[in-house]
Amino acid sequence: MGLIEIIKSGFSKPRLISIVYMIQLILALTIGLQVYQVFGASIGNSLSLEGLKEGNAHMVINDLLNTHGASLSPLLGQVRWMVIVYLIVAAFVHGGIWYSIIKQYEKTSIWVGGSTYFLRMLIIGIVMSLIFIIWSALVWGPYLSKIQYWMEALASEEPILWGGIAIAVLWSFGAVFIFVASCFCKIFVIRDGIKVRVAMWKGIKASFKKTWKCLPVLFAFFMILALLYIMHSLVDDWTLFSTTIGVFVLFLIQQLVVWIKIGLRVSTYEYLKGRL
Amino acid sequence: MRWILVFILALLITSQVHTQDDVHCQPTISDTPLSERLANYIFNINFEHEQHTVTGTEKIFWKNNSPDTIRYIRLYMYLNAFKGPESSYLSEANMNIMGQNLRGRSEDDWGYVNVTKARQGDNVITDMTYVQPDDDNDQDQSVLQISLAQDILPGETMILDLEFASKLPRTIARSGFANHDFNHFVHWYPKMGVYEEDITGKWDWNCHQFLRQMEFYGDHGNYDVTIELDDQFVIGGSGCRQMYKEPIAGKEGRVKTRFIAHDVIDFGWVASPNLVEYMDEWEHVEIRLLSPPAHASLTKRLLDAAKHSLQYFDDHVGVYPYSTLTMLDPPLHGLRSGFMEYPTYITGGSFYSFPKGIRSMESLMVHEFSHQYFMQILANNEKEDPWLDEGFVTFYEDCVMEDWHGSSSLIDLFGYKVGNSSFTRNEYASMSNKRTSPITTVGYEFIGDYKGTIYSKTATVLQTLKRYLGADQFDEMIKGYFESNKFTHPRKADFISVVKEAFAKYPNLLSSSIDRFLVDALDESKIVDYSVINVGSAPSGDKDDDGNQLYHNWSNLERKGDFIVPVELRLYWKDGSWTDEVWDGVDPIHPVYELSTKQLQAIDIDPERKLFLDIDFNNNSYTLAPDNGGIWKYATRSIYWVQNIIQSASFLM
Ligand SMILES: [Zn+2]
Repeated sequence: MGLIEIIKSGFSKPRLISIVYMIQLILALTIGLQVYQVFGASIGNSLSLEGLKEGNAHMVINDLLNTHGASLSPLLGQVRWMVIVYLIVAAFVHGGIWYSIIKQYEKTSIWVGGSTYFLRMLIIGIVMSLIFIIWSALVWGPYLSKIQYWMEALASEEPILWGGIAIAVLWSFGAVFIFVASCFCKIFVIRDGIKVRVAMWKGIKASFKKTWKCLPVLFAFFMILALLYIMHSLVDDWTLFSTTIGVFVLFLIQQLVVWIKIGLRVSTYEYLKGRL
Repeated sequence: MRWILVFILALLITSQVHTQDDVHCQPTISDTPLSERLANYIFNINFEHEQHTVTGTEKIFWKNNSPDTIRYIRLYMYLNAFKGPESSYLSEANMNIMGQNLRGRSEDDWGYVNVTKARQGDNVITDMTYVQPDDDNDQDQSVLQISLAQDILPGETMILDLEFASKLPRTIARSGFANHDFNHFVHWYPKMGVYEEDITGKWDWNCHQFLRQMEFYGDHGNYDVTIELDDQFVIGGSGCRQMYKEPIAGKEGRVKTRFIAHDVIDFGWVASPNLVEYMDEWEHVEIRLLSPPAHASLTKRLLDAAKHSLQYFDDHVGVYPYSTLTMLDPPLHGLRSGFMEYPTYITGGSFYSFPKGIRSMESLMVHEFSHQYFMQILANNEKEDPWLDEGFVTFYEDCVMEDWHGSSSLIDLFGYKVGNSSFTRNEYASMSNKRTSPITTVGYEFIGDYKGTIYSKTATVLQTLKRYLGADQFDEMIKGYFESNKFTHPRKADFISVVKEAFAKYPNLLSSSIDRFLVDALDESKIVDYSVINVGSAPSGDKDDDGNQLYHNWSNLERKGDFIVPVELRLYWKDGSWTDEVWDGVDPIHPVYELSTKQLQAIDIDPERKLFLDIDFNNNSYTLAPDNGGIWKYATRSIYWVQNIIQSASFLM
């Protein structure tokens, strides 16, 4: 299967993508609307708003934070809680996505799959996240703990930087293996109906065996994501978007990026299902 | 008769100090002295890099320009502040300097400076004691008092021959060595204190111990420094090079370098085998950058920073009178020696492949360069009036950077833009407690956010003065301040007088209250914050003579702070026109009312943002027709980022 076909396979389920998108949007809106409210209540009648639109915002934002920071900082706490809530919601959502990919894709698949496999997805998610945390600590811990010492001992930061990049690459490889393992594990649970514990073991083993061959496609996906981010940050800077209509157009572009990212996730799942 | 003898003696001594026939490098652009040259030094020293020591001789020629007969002198022995935990500097800091914990250091990691022998003419001096003029810590050895064998009469020049030994500590606050190859010699020699008349008219030694929140203070003079060292070392420092790494007969592998610096207040130098020298020039100035090999790609940025600074100061402040500028970009392990200023020698700091869009390395180099004017040429007492250099330098750092890179001078990366003056203003405006010690507090007595006040608030005050006075008029004022105070020790009063003069010469909104402004800004911790409470417009029911509807237009303004400054008001009308008014700021609430055929739409206090000290500009204006596009931009952006965060966080779920 070529890359285009792989991508197509994911985007052939627009309804599924859109449901996931809507769930994420609703959660994000609760923050976005509060940001709107706080800004409106604190500087809503100020002429400084002109500056905000033009991206010439350092002074406006800092004065806002200095004076009204207390009303904005709780939002950061909310984002933290939202991530935790979404992790639980995600167990449901991903159960639904996997069910739609593996079993059947119908109007109600995401709800059926989500409710059937919620707990199993949650357990797999938690265990894999723990493995990921351990992996991260193992790889980054020794490096980070040495930085202070290296600052005093080394004549150049070059090895620290390149060492950091090398570790980031190694860490990413590990992350990919863990990601593939978690996907395989979910496939085993849903496709073969085996127990989570067995599926996890099989998933990890399969990941070690098969991830290597998947790397080019996964890397291609990663590059597409990176490209999306770069494109967004480039257009974000355009003065074209410094009008009210421009702000709206930019919002549409941002939402399209988010939607495409979900589609790519579904495509990745389709691809990995095909590899097992 | 005695008078004639003194005169002849003085002539002889002067010729000894100043007739350096063998000097061919020209440290300044002038053939004649630029300063009074009160404190002059000739060094002949040996640098032993394995031990991080210098030993040798120091000849001091010090002119008594006071009406007093001097019987003892005081010397700064600042390397002794790093002798061990008992020094006032380290005990005050609780052994923690800039995040560096100094506990558990080995013996070799401490430094010292000792005078091993002192001679005045043929008389050997034995009466030398460490004194503590600022605290009663008798363990502190940062000031040495030497009782002279012969009195120094007013107008006479003392010649003192010292033998001394200095050892660098592992770097503490810029002085020291890092890993056996990097050696930074600052505050490394016995240095003359300043004998001066204080503001009460009393003459005495101004020679403070080395305490926290203290920098340096010295008289201008000439330095002739000859250093013997191993030939693999690259060496750079203040002044010009009279001789560079010349082999010494009979000493295999040892070379001599000689620096000459004129009309400077100090001398610093660096030696390391792992530095690369890059040369550039700007008009009469030879620019030398010493950089670690890994920073090769950054050299242009730093050299450009120097050249832009030189040009800006030449245009806006005064001529750079020296022929050299040496910059050090320290290696990683020498970074603690970075970000500091010495006469014609400055140190910065950078990182390998530092993004071009973040210009902090340029900005900091500009900052250190600016000290050549504020600290070195205008040699204020950095211990007592730190704002006169750090505040002015921060202001000029912002001016140079914005002149060079525009309004996003500090950061311009991925659409995130920050200008220097906005950054500086925010350092002050974001201080959680702005009621700390005022700007003009003596440095070592300051309580509160030192950086936010001494550096940033001062710069913001200067920015405010510039905006009220006008850029050209401000330049003229500073040029006057520079010309009349260069190569002296300016104090607060010197600056205040030029400000008052300029505001009298060029009347503006602030002129009538400039005296009160200067007191409130510099000697108090008052806060400026103007805000608009409301704006309204409603039909009055009446019509004017032409039958047009008349409107009641009103607004209420509030002075939230206790700092009163007159400001301009701009009233924006619905038809697109505007009118300007003035508010003296005296009453805490200021109602605005106009009966007009036009409808008031918005009001802006200080529309040109001249009053840069106002801690919140957002509340300066109020409009009945707000454009929410900007708020939507941030709301939609936060939606986008939350979506991305939850997507990434759930990649294993
Ligand atoms: Zn400074």
